[in-house]
Amino acid sequence: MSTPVFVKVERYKKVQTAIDRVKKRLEDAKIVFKRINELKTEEEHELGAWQSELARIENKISNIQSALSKPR
Amino acid sequence: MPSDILYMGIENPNVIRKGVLESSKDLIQFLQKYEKLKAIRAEKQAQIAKLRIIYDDILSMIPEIKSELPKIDVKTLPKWDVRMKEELPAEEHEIAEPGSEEKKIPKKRMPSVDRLEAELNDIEQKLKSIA
Repeated sequence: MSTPVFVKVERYKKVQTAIDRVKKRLEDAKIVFKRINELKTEEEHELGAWQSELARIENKISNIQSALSKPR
Repeated sequence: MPSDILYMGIENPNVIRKGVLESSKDLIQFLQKYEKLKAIRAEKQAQIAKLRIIYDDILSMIPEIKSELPKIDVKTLPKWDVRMKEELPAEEHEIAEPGSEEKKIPKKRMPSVDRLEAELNDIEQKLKSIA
């Protein structure tokens, strides 16, 4: 354990206030991180749905093409 | 001679018409999903920008805290042994202040823990010499 160091009370209070502000901003950052993670999940879900849609359209176009290739 | 106009017969035209209409509908839904994806990505970018602002804010507060604290290299401060404080009589206790190197804590006897450790080391040395 190192020797104690003394600071003026006013400065100590300023440090305490600054630390409280930092803690508040860290809480804000946590909320934003949470939202970003939610958006990431949503994005992945939409990307998957988009991909499935593309596959379905591709299938339908193939069906049309094969129908057209059977002439009367 | 007029050019021959040729025609191609289509089997099941209604099936094809239905297929084309359904494909058009799917394409529109596909584009709607893409717009939704774009919106999600835009919000994600906005949140990341917000996070960057918070990070910059925190980074700017650290020097403020540092400026209020005394500029002392903690490593150069003399160590304060808690065990020594417990062993020594009350009148010999002194809280060392910065710049008061002349006020040293007088060491009258070794703390019991250190004494025991020294005795233990001594015994171990003797055991090694026997072995």
